[in-house]
Amino acid sequence: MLIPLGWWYTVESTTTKHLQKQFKSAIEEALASKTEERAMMRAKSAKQRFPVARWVEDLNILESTAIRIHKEEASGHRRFRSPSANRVLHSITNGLDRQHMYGDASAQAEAFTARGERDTSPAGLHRSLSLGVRNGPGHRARLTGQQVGAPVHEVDELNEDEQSSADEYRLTREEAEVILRGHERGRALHSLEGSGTPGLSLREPAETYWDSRRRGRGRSISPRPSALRYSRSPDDMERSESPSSDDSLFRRGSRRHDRLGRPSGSLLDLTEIKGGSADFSLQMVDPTFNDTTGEFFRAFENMLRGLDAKNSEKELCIEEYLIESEKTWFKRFREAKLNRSRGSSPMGSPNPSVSSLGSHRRIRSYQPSPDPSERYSSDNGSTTDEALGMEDEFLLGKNYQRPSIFKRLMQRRIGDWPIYSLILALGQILAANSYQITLLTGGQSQTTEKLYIIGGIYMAMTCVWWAFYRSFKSLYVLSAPFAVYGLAFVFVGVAPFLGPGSGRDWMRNVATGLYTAASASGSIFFALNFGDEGENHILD
Amino acid sequence: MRITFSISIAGIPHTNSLIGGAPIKAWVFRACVIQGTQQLYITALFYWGTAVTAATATGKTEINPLTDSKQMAFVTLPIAAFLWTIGLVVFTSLPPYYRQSPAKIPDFYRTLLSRKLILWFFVTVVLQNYFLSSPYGRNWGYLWSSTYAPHWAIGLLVLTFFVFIWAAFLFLFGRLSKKHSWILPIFAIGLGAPRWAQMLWGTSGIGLWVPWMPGGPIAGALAGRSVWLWLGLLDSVQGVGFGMLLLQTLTRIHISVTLMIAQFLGTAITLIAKATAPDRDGPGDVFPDFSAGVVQGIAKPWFWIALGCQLIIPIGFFKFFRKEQLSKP
Repeated sequence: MLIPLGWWYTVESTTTKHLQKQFKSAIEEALASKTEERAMMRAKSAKQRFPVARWVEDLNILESTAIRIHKEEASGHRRFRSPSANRVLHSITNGLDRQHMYGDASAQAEAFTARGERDTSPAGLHRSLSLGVRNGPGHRARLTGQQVGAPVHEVDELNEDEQSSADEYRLTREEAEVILRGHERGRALHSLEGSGTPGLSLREPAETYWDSRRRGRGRSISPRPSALRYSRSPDDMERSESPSSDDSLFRRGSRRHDRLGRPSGSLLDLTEIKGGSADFSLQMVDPTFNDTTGEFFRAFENMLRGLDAKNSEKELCIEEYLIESEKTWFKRFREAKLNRSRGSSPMGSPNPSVSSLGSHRRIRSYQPSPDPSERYSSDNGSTTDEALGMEDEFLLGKNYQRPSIFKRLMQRRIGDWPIYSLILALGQILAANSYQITLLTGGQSQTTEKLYIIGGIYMAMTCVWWAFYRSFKSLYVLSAPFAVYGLAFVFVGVAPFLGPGSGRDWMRNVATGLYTAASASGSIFFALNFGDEGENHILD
Repeated sequence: MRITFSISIAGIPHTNSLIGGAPIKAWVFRACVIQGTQQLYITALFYWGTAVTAATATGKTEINPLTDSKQMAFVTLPIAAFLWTIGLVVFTSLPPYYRQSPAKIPDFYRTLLSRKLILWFFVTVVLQNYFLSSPYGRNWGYLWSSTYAPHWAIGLLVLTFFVFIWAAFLFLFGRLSKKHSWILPIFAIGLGAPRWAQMLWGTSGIGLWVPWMPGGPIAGALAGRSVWLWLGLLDSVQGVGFGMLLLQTLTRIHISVTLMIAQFLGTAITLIAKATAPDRDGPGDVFPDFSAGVVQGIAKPWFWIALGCQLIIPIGFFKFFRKEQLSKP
């Protein structure tokens, strides 16, 4: 394996600051190198390149071997041949992940077209790139009535007739070249026009090509060549769903590019499943921060106008911006949840909070972005529209009920802490171990029997609280201990009213036992605290 | 029996690399604050206990002022009512996150056994509880038992260590963790066995007399307590560090089950230790009395056995942490 020349840096942690620092040091090293060194490196690199095509090919071989071995293992009870389409498709899909739509797609097509000589892969002498079968991977045999007993081997794939079945999307070398040229054309256009409509210019050659290959499938929407988009949703749906990718900067430009083929041929679509209604309980999840209105995106764009060497590391570091935006957004989300009927006043207009983010950066050329016209109209006559707009942004839905006053109180924050988490922290602090408990009720030393009894109670109650936690809502296991603590204190308080003697002692013992029982839940308080933090609800 | 692991941090698997740093930092900070507050609570409890015993010894007050005077009822009954109210509020008004039914996780308990870190955590609990649980009360008694230093001075020391220096630690580690999120666990591992050291200082008699401090016996007593408090602080930091270890490798539900099992196990081991451990009736050989000479003390085998057991704990954590860390660079 060839190790490329260059200046390397170690990565000791995945935090941005550290990576920036390491990268900077590598850059400085490189800048400080002597001319002779660089000349030597240049000379060496003329001979030694990073072998991209070979690397891709090797990966291909690796994957196809793995898949073949797997299929051979599994071929005991099921013996239909596997389309090599899977493998090639897999490598394409790998290369064409969403973040690198532009570059790697053409790179892949290039690699594919350039690979003419290196047909040593076990996939055989393919002259075309298969992009998947309409019935899904592995189901080709069933449809076309192939022999079920065929050995799972590539020999079959050389049979051109079978491969050009009507239901498979194929991409021959010529077609790939067409697409490649289309990409290049698109890129050239893009650089000429600025951010015009690169999507359209790119789509056209691809679309005409696909139209000509439709073979009367009877579908109304031409299958856009896309290895990525599994849903056939119309454009407006895509617009609201696309921000799930994290390349929001690429979003605008490349949303419409790079549809090379439908991988699975599936006809299923989210709109069909939902059937138009919008209130399935699975959909009632708290939204994640996707910047669906593009507001933070625009604000950051504005801030980037003042980009220079100095502030690119700290103030305009996108990670920090994202973290702050998320916090702001969640603050607004909470406000929206809790203050719905108060209309727009607590929510305000989004601009102040966004511009306050900007002002932290002290960028002189920053101008507040113009009011986004669709939703946040500044005139107060349309407060209800605004409120609805905010709700839609937060996916609150039409039937959202404002929670009761106590619930709202619990979610209020003191500083950064919500009140409910303070209460849960109280529950955790109260939970003491047994030795501390006997102090509370008197007597520093513990007799051994007492220790055993208390220990036994503690162990038993640990199991009980755990069973509670696993069988009922967390609510119960977090509120019951308080009741028991209260009871313990009642006993402590009532004890002096009995006469001195064994009655009093027994009261104290009962109080100790109750306190111990409640303390066994301490870890659960800890583990469950901060549960409403707003990120990753669904994971828990 | 003690809650040997009093730090736990509400965990969420952080596969989101972009903003993974912020949530961890926020929760660690909060968990640390809670832990710090609990230390204060425990200290106050022990103070109360010592005051009671001392008062009894000098015959000043009744045996159990807390439970034996009727005025106490006026304090404890409102506390009870307050706690009941809180329980009610919690029951009705927690945010919706807490109203979910628990998820079913297939083979949950068996998967626990395959996580080496969890198993090592249980080993830690066993080792620590076996040797260090019985002298627990006596160890804490050391703090308040000085006859020279006045109680208010010791109280000030407690505040200094458990509030101010603790905050300084939090601040420092908060800053460092921004760049290197592994630093707190590794620091905790590097600390070794501070709890053992604290117990040695407190129960074996070394800390009772510090003649080399200038300023006489009062200064000596204060210096001794300061050392004790410092070691206690390091013990808390180690607890937090181990907690971060678990956080970086486990999810919330795994953490809760680990802690509960650890509680159970810890209690069981404490009971066993009370019956069988070499230090069940006092420091014994585990924390030997060095007044006869250092060599005499070190020559006892239990001393070394206990020490060795405590020291392998961080080594084990180090080994398993590296393997199971979720976000390796």
